[in-house]
Amino acid sequence: MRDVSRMLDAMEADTTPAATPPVSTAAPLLPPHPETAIAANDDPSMPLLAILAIAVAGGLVVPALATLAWRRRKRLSISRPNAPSDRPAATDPLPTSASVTHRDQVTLPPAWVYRGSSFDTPPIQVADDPVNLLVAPVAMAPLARTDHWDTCVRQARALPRQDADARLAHAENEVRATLDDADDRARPALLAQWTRVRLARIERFSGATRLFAMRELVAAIEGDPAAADPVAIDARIEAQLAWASWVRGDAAASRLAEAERLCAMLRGDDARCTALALRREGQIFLQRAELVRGRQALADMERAQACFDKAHALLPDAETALLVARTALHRARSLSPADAADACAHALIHAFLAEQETGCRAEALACRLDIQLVYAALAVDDHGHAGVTASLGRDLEAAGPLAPTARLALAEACLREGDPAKAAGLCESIWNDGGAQPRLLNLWRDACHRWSGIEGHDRAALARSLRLLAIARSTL
Amino acid sequence: MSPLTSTTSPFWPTRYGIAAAVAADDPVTRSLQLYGEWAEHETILLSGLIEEGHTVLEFGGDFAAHALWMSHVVGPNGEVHIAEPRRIRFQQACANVAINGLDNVFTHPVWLGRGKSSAALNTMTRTDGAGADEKIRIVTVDSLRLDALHLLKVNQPHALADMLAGATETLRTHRPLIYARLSGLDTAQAEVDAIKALGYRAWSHVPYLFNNDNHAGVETNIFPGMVQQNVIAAPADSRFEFAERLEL
Repeated sequence: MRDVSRMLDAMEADTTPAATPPVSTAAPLLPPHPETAIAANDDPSMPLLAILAIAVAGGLVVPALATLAWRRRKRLSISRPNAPSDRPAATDPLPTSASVTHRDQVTLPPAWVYRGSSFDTPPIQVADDPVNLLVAPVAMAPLARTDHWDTCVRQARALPRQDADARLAHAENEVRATLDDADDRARPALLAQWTRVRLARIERFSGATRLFAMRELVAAIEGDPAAADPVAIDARIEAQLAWASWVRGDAAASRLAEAERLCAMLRGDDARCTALALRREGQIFLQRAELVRGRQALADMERAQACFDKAHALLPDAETALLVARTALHRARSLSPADAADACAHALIHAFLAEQETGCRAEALACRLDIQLVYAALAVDDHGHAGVTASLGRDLEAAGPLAPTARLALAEACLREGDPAKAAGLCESIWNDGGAQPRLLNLWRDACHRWSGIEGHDRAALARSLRLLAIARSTL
Repeated sequence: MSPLTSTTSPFWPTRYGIAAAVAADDPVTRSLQLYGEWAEHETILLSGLIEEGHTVLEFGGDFAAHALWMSHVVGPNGEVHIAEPRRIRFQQACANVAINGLDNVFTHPVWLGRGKSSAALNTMTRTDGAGADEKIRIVTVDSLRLDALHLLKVNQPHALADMLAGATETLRTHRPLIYARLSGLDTAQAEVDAIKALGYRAWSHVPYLFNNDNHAGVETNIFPGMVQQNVIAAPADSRFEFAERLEL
């Protein structure tokens, strides 16, 4: 019976050309050998009784085989999901019909060996990580630089001024010494690192001291033999963009023009370089938008958006997704309500994508909160928005120390949710960190105004906040 | 770092060069002596506005304290012009220019007004002490016939409105940025109006005199709570926008 069973297995096996080699070993499936057939039909001496006996036997065997096949098929269809041990796993190589129908193998006793498969029940109870079905997984290829000196720069930014200066000076000396001893292959990356560490030091300077230091830095890089390498070019663009952000008008335009020239050098056949160049071009357009007003600014923002979208299509990493989201949000603030809603949707999708990367989570949450605030402002009624805003605010607070932009969004959310004291406190903390933009001061003013309307409020704390607000406004 | 002392050295090392020691009888010299810099918060704003090759005109020399850094910013292809009408201050500014070897700085011992004339110093501005009645020469900005002008910096109080009246041709031709210290409550509105009447937009700039990050690293604040009431102005049709500042 087992042999019959194996034969039926063979009949049910994959018979596609790829799986079934055209070999005559599949004997049971083939017509009888011609010689055998001729011999049976042409033997005139065969007695009639024998023929009848064969016919009767055939008539009994064929229905029996058919019945057996039907019963087996039914049994298999019921038991298949629960029988990992007697069938190969779906991930295992597919068995060929030859492997089971070969005459030699057919006669062998079956070897029932347990084989592990992906269907095995795990020995312990495993709780899978929750899957967010709303977000498609993206190929995360972060462009964020995570080497020793970048870590050093990031840590230094969180230190008190003098400690930070010492840390950065040490890092600069270290990378400079390594750069001086570097061979041609290692030099471009080290030059880029030195540029970034030096830039981190220069950004702590002020006024003309910073200006002179930038001139020296740019001259030093341009004189280096590795300056034309893409890695070094990217660092040079970063330096020009930082410089452009510290100056105004024509001076800023000159720096951006230089950055654009370097972008053209950065573009290449490599998709990564092209994506990087597009990201940098987007940043250039964003900074250009800040130098102009009205339609011209919006046009620059749209160019920036197009660059970031293309860069994200080429290299879908979290940082680029965040740039796409922020730019769309920035545009949404300048567009008509209908267009702004579309821009918000575009921003939201990419903020979600960026949120999947741990390193970008807090910034992406802040961006989502900002999007929510803009979107709520566009809506006719407040139905449902309050809950979303509050939830995002809580998530953002739980995300750890926040950048000033994130705190500003949180302050706006707090004010919307009826906590003006907290909103005012957040505004004060941003101002202490050097922020003094009109949006911040207006929000702070509104927070104090609402705070004063709350019964039993802390009068001393409000008076202190108002005093600081007055100082902030008067020293613009 | 300890405060600099004028009694032991004839020179003060400052952030942007050497300054000859003088009597510390006004805020500029006290700041130069103690902190090694003067009005650094002005520098922070203005160093983002001027470039290599630019021409700057400064009325009120402040002992060339700002000419030291402006000279380096504009470079060998740029020019810095200082107009200082007070004789001793003019000579001290010249000394600082000379000992720092600033080839591109030009000094003018004149008051910049609405016409060519002369007058006693105390009739032009509020001043007392020695030299208050000293006779000074008055000329117009237009009479300087500058080939270019990118920044007009006015430190001298009670001079802005008249100076602008004598600079109409220069302002029309070169459309420079204007950075000026306002003279006080009674004249501030007239001064801002005079700037805006020339087709400029004006924003407030209120820098503290004390800089936490001063060159000498001195933590003592000898100017507690003291600010300057300044204005930064740009032609309305230019690309300058000071969105974070209070527009006047």
